[in-house]
Parts: sequence; structure tokens; C-alpha cells
Amino acid sequence: MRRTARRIAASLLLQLVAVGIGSGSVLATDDYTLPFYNPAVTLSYGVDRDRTLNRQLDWTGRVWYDGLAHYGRVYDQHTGVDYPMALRSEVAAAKDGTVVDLEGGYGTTQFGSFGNFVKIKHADGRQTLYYHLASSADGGVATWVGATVAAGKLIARSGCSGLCYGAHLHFELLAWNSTARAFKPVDPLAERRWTTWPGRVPFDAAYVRESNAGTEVIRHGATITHWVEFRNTGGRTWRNTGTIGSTALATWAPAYHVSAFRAGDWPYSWMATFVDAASVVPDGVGRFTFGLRGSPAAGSYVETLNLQAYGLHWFDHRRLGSYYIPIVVTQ
Amino acid sequence: MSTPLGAIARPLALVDHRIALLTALPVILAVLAVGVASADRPSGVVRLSADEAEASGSTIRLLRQPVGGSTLVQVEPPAAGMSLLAVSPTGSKAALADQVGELSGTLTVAAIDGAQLRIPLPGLLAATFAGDASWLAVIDGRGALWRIDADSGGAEALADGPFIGSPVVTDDGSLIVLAVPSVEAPYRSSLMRLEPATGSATPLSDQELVYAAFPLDDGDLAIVAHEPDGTLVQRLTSAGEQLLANLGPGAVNVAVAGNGRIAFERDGEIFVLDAPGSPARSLGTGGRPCFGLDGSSLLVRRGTQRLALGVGGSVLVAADELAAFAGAVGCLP
Repeated sequence: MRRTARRIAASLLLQLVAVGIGSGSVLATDDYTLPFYNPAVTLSYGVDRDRTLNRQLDWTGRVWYDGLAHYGRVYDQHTGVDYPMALRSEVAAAKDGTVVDLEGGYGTTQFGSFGNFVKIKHADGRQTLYYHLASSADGGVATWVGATVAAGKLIARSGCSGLCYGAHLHFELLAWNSTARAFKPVDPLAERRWTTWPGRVPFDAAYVRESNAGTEVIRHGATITHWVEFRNTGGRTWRNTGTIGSTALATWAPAYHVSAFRAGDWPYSWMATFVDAASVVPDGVGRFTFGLRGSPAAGSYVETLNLQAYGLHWFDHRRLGSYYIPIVVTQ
Repeated sequence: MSTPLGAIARPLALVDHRIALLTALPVILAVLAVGVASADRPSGVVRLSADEAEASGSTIRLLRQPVGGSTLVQVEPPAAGMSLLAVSPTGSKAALADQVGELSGTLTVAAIDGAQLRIPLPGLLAATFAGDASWLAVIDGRGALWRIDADSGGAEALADGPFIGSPVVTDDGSLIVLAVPSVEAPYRSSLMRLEPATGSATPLSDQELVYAAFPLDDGDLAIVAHEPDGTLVQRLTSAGEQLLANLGPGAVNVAVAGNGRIAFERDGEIFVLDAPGSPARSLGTGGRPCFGLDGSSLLVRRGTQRLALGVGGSVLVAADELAAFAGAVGCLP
């Protein structure tokens, strides 16, 4: 049965592995996030941590002495992380911040010295740079200088402007270097944070279980309580503050529709609830508890729900097992 | 290996940088890493006479044509896929790349008499001829700067960089270059004067993102700089920067003629400003404008065509894909 099939085994092993990744330290959360939503995107080239010409130190710690490009690792003098993706793929802010500079006038695939970019400054004094974007006219730059952006907010669409050989996003993390008195690239992967780990896009989840995996039967006019649990397979901690970015369960197919089963505890007619716990770290399981009221006339129904980073982005519904609740209302 | 420097058509005045910039000099010098003992010197230079090139089916023809007061040079390559990087001020030589960018490539210097030099380099981004066409300043695929002898093919590594854009060669042999943090993400680019003889580098502007520099007829330099609210064209003088035009946001591929005329591209349309303060006139659809030396005509892309236009917008010549005005500086390949 589909409800059974989509259950995912408790990932104790995964959690153990996760702790190991941090080399004994607790992996940071709510920090720099992968700057896109598609978990299938993987890096093609990382930062060359060795600035010596013809010597490359890749993100795994391996040193190359050939000056050549090594797919999946590094190429000489590379200052950012390249993520191959189709033209016009969604690009997200890696962390809360303020847009301080951008260019969107170049063509989406216009080859040349310069290209389209967005630069964001963050409260920790660092900056992030998103390069080779599509043109503004093509939806490439979807923000403005001075805009305040939340981590995970859509800010741009990818392209291949500038010196670009194949569509990709060039992502840089820049830190102030007091010796050079300039912002210099650092390797986001070096910090081994959850939020920069491959596949750990900002918003992702997997179905775990629910209070009733079968059909909910509700007497007309009555209200029942239902809960469902999802594992946080993304890179950001889920929160329930009710502010931008909080994790909510809301109506889907179509998105934002007014639910015929909304109960008195729903924050909005289209939103069943925020996550119950104050925070759910990556790989943790979050429960969403909400009422279902049998308002419609007797009959069989389906209510489809999806997770949303409130005000920012919908989760990929397919990765939630295309979650829905069969409902029968009786007299 | 070294070649005496010749005079260039339009000499540049030395620009005094401001005291404030001196504080940034050590930083930028560190960025430049002048003196590139680690840079690879190209080997395997191939020299072909006109007869040898013809016999091997690799003839490159340079066709010179007067357009307005400038000379348009159309290049007929032996095969598709080559890019034209630069044409000498008289149109007697052209520099071509088998591919732009990448980590290896061949620079071909083709002469109007049919002779060729082929110089292997670690990729190619841009090139500019000296005034007498005896040498070229070349930026390789990783942004390093080379001096290439146009007669022997001898190559001298000048600086690691990385640099981007077309270098400007001055009459005294110094080079105006754009230093960037990386060639693939030039979110910052500093305009520098580089003295190859001493390895010294001097910042010329405190603009953080300079897109291009163009020599003006009076010896000053015009620079195109990005600011968050728009693209600026400024004149660099010994007294500082003087705003010539604020082209607003979305203006790209800006070109400045020696006489100060400005052309740029916005949303697939070409505009011209005849003088500072004058309104922008549309020349219709197209992109990548580049002025001839006298500023009375410009070469543009329109669809799949390369067209030489008068500054009024009339089509003067429908050119081949590989075409450029002789001595044009600052235009992208």
C-alpha cells in the first residue's frame, strides 16, 4: 500500500554518519545553505584552496600538482564552487542578508569577460556571490540592491553569462582578509556544515508516518486531530516561529486552496499548521498536528498537503511521497 | 626575446593616481603576483610562409576596407571556429584564437602577406597589438599576461594576474589592464597600469568594478565602471575622475571612441551618445558595438550578421563573422 511504501526506516545510521562527518564537532545548522533547491545538483568543481599556480588542493584535502581540471574536485585557481544546472534553474540565497550589488544586463548565454551576478552581505561580515546568472529580462536577477533576503529565498535564475563553458552556477563565499584588506574567497565546503553538504538543499523532507495512514472517517460537523511526521532531509533547521521561513503544512494541488476541512486551529484557511516543535534540526523528525473538520456533505474526499518554508518556497511534493489524506465524511 | 617598443597611434598620457589609492597598492600588488617564475613558457612555435600556409590549406586572408575614416579588416580563416582577438592599427596583422578561454589554445598571428605564426599558450582570453604591431599583449586562459613577439613568436610571461578584458598598450610600453579575483567570476576588477620592465603595478581608479578602458584622442583614458545603480563612463585625468555619462542599469558592452562618442547595448538594442550630456539615440537592434578609430562608424552584431554602421545607424558594410576595425581597443572577442 502506498502509505506503507512511503514509510522510511528510522535513519539512526544516517545520524551516526552525520556526527562522524563533523570530525567530532557538531555540524552547524541555520548557516550557509546550498544556493538552489534541486537536491540532485552536485558540484563539478570546488574551490582551489592552494593559490599556487599549477598546484591544487581540493575540498577533500587531496593535492594535485598538474594544474589540470578534475571533475568533482577542483581546477587550478578556482575561487568558487561550480554547480552545473540547466539554464534558468532557481538560485536561492545561501543565508539571510542584504543584496549589495548585482548585474543583470548581459544575455543569459552571452559569452565574454563579464556576466550577471548577485552579491549578498551577511550579518557575520561575509558575502556570497552568485555568478553566470541569466539576464534580468530572462528572469535571471529576481532581486534588487538593498533588498533584505532570507536564507532560501529565490533571488535569481542560473545562466551562462560571462566566461562560462556550459550552464552552471558559480557560487562563492567571501570573507574579509585583513592582511590583504579585501574580501577573499573561502571554501564553504571546508566548514563541513550541514547546509553545504551535497544534497542538503535548504528545503527537503521525507515522509515518516502519521496518526492514521489509512482513510480518516469524520462525522459531519465533527473535528478530529491528525498528525503527520516528516524527516528533515534538507539543510536548514525547521522552526515554528510563524515568521518568514518557518516550516508549515499547507494545502496543495492547487497550492493555497481554501481547505474544506480546515478546523479552528488552522493559522490560515490554506495552512493547517506550523511544525509542532520549536526546532527540528537536519535529519530530525518533525510532527505536524492539526484538526480536520467534517464540514462538507457526506462523501469521499482527498485533501492534499505540502510543506512550505513560509513565504519563501514550497517543498518538492513528490519527495514527500505526494502526501495526501483520504477522508470520508459521514452523516 | 624582447623587441623595441614602437609608437602607437594614439599615445596615452600618464595618469597620476590619487594618494588614497596608494594605500591599496600593496594589496593589489599582492593580487597581481608580478614576476611569474611559475608560468609556463610556450614551446613549439610554428612559423609558416604564405606558400607553406597555402600548401597546407591553412591560408588566412586579411581583407582591408576603408569605412568612414577607419579601416575595417575582414578575416577569412581556413576553418570555422576561430575567434578574432585583435587587429593591428594599420590592419596588417590579426591575432586569432582557435578557441577562447580554456586551459590550452593556439594564438595565430596572421600577416596580410599570408605568413603565419602559431604560438601555443595556456588558453586565450584577449590580445592587443602594440602600435607598430611588433608585439602583442596577450591574456591567457587563466588570466596571466604575456608579451608575444609578433615576428618570432617569442613569449615572455609578464604577470600571473589574473587579468581580464582587452589590455591597452601605451606608447611607452606600459599596459593598462583589469585585475580580477578570478577570470570566471570577476565581481571586482581594478584598473591597473603595469610596467613590464620593472614589474610595478599602479592602480588608476578606485572604482571596484571596471568593465573596460578606452584611450581618448587627447591622451586621457575613458573607463566604463559598474555601480549598483548603473553603468558609468568616466574620464580619467591627472586631476581625478570626471563623469561623462551615467548609462543607468542594464547598459552593457559599452564602447567609447577616441573622440568621446559612446555606444552601448541594452536589452538587445544599441544606443549612441554623441557627446557627454547628449541624449541616447537608438540605432536599432543589435549588440556588442565597437568603434572604428575615428569614431564615425561602429561594428555591431545584429542577429547572425556583423554590420558596420554609420553613427546615424545606416548600414555601411555587411561584414564577415571575423571582422574588426584596425586598432580597435577594448572590444570583447
